[in-house]
Amino acid sequence: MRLLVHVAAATLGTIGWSCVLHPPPGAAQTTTKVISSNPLSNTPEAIAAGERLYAKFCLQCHGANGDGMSPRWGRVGADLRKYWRGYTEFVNIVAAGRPEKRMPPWGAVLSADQINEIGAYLETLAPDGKWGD
Amino acid sequence: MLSSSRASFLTWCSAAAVAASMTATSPATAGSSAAEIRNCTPENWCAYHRTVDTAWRHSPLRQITRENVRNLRPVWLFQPGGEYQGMHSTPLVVDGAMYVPVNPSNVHKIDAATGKRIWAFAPELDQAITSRSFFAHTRGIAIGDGRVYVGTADGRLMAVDEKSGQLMWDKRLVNSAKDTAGFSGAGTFVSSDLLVIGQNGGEYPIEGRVFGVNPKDGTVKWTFYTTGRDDPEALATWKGDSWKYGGGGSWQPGTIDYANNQILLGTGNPNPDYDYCGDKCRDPKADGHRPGDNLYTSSTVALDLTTGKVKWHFQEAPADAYDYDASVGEYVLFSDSEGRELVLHPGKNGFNHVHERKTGKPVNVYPDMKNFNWTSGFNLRTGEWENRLWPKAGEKTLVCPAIDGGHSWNAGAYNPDTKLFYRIANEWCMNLISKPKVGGKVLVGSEERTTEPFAQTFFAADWEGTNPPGDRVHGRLTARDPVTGKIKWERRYDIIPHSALLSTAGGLVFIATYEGNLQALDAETGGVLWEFSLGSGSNGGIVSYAANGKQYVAVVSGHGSYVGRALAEGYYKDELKGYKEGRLVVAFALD
Repeated sequence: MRLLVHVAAATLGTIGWSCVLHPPPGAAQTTTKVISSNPLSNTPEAIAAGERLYAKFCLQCHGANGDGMSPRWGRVGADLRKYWRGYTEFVNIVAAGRPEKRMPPWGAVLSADQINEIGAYLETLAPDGKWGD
Repeated sequence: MLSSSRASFLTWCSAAAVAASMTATSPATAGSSAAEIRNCTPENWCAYHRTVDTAWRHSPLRQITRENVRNLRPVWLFQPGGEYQGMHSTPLVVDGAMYVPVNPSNVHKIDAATGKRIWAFAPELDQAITSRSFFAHTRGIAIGDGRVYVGTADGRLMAVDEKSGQLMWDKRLVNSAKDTAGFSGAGTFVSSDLLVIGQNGGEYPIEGRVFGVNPKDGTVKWTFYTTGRDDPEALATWKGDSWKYGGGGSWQPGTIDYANNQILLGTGNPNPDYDYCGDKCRDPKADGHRPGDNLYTSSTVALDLTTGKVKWHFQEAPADAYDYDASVGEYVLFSDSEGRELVLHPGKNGFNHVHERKTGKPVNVYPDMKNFNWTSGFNLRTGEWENRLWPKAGEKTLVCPAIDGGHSWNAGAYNPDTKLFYRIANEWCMNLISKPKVGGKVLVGSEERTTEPFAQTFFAADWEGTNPPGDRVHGRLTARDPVTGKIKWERRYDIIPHSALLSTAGGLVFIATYEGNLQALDAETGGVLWEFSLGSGSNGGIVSYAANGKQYVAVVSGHGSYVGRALAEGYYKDELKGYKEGRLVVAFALD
């Protein structure tokens, strides 16, 4: 968790304390404030809910272990065992997608809380307990 | 072996080929009329498997022979650009023009003698779909009556003017924004009144479909639902409403049996991929996502050309627990020495299936791969696959062949002169971890059906590639009697090749390896007679045609495809390290 805080703090230095989620084209034009670190980290209920959501929406590309190895398509997704760009950007990418990387936008499907729950689950997949390192 | 009409036709074809090669006349002018597509003169490559009614991938041209193939030289290159998924396709050639399908849903028309581009068709696709789809690739197109037919990754069928490259009509057949699935395989041009094309998407919770379409305007004349809608026999093989989400589809072209007014094609795997119900999976009352045999998924079906109804079917993996869909594999039509009219289908399950063409009665079902354990074989007397292996829930189970099949979608070839069938079999296995629904929790995959578009792939297992017991993963090219399966010769390839094969009347078999070599083999012995380095592996077709009286061989090259990724990322991490996806077409001719 200490490492997460470190990463979040480093991220804040460059992008600020909060950001605005940009919904995908065609989605309801709402803006959602999200904080830049995961408020649901280490919350058992959130982790359990995040696991179910991850299995439904993420696993097909990012794999059962979150390492980016799809059970069907090979290496098609990013390794999610670490927030490579910090937590805020993780949330942004989940919501807005990355078309150039074949990442769908889920902002019109998943709430901010649900994205946080997925994040809470991903934090449990970090190798050797070094999530966020 | 051949019916008399077919033998006569081939004799005529051979004579025509020799005449063309001897006189170096101008290209044939038959165009892409329905009669030409049905009969396909030797200079042309009229359909995905060259002919719509045999699927032999055999060119009757005989200018390039065993004796002179050593003089084969590259004469032009064509680079369509981009790299995503490499190239999967087989080009078509009509009247000296080549039509090259390129991912996603693009077509380039080029001069088949020079490689010079004539036009490019790049339709505006729905990026919200294609940027997320797993199937934004194109393996083939169809041609007929002056139109090129392109099934698009975003669910439409388009017709393009063969001469100008201009769009003629554009019909949405699949709601890809909802279903995720679209089109990736070639359609089959049956006649001026019918084109048949299937959608992909066995991995998705949808009703897979095959469409009979009017090629003049894209109007749908009939629809075949691969999970059995309105078919009591099929619906009895699904629990509850699981058929509504059963997937299937049909993503490769079929072969037309004109004499029996039917098209033979294969259907995709059921959704979800794998299930956790173990040895109870065939019981429609069992617990699971889709218990029952799940007709007509993972099956060969003979569809009536007039109505689209099933005339006969044969399920190659009942209650498919391994992703052994039957869409891969060509439907090779031929007659044996007893005059029986037969069809051969190499299935993803690793077996070659030989049926009586009219009735579907199995004549022989034999393994084309050495390493298989999902069954001990098919019993012709009982009509059952025997000793099925059901992955044990929660345990790592060795299953052979692996998910991408004992046969993949790279087609084989049949030579009517040698009467041999040439095919690549994949000797690979997987450790499958099928997970039970324990305590309300599925450990791998979603515990509930996923219907949200683009989250739709729904697994009940995880897997990892592994070697067959006591051996290393490898590919085998065999030359067999297609009915008995007796092997005349075979070659081992340490890295599984993934190109389609080409047979020619010059006594040759062409193969493009995954190391990047185009090889010409002696059709009688399998010996390598000529080799050329393409610089990248191949996942597509090799074709032969004539332009201005000269015979050419052309190959599509470029790493890519999901099977290619499985090779590079799963089985050959060292041997294929650093390879990138790419796209190239190379044509060869004699000096």
